[in-house]
Amino acid sequence: MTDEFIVNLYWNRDEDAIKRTEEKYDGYLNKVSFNILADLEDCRECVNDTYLATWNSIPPHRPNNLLTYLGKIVRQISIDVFRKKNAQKRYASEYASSLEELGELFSSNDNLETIAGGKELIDSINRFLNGVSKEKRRLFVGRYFYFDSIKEVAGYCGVSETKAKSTLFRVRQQLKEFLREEGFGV
Amino acid sequence: MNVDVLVDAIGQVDDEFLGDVDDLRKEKRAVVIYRPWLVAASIVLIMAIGIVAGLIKGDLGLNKMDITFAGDTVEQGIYVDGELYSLGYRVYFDALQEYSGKVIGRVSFDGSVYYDAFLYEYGADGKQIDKILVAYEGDYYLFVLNKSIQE
Repeated sequence: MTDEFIVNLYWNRDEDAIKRTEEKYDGYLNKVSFNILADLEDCRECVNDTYLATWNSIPPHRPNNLLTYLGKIVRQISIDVFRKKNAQKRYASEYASSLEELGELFSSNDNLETIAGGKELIDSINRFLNGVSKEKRRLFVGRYFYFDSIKEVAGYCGVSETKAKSTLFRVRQQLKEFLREEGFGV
Repeated sequence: MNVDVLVDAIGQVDDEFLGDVDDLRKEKRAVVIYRPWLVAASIVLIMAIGIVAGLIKGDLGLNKMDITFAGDTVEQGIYVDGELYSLGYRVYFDALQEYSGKVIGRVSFDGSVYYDAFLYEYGADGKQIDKILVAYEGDYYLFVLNKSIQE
């Protein structure tokens, strides 16, 4: 079943859309959520919320790529749950590890919010990713969008774990420098 | 928090970057599926770099695993060596792809029909089984064990 067909089901308000989405992407969505929460019960709830959010957002949206559309939704919902519950639960997830890695970029005095709005930051990151090598971009997206483990990212990028770690370290430093040049206070 | 702002911004990057990595993530699974020799070579390499003993212990432990379904459906979980593990999630594979990892046990509802249980992920130190897959009626279901390998 094609994504276009599924999206059309949403547009026709056919509840079969959710069932078809689940059949095709449930594993993918659970994986993204699990990387963030490492808790099967919370992960299940986030995926169910993703189906609901998708139902509520298509229409008006008509995603060209349903997979990445769903991925962005489940990622954000899961991160929101992480932020809300982490104080009580202390999730030991790949996301938690990624946060530590990214946190090394910024000092407590840095303030991305006040320098520019979110859109400018997104545009800058897109420009940054366009400017780095394909390998670096893939490692960065795999680790910091999907929060796959270093082992997994290294595996599908075809490099050793050691190389993945060192490359990611360099990319983080490059990103910091790039954002500074773009006028962000880092 | 600044890092949260950055994380949120990364979450909105262009779809083309994500699509590229999505393809790789699928291919990675295909590699596991279509090239079992690669899995075997990886295991040999791991053994060669110094955790031979741990791996051997792992194999011994795995061979002893006793796996049964906890109820009438796969969603109700499985018992592994008497301990109940709930279903993680159905693992996403492309149509027509078939997982061919190492079978570490067989699982059955009634003792007459058996389904394969595959090793899916070792812990980084080789002393723990992190995840197993159970093949059931054309789908693959993941159980998170985080179970120490038996001596």
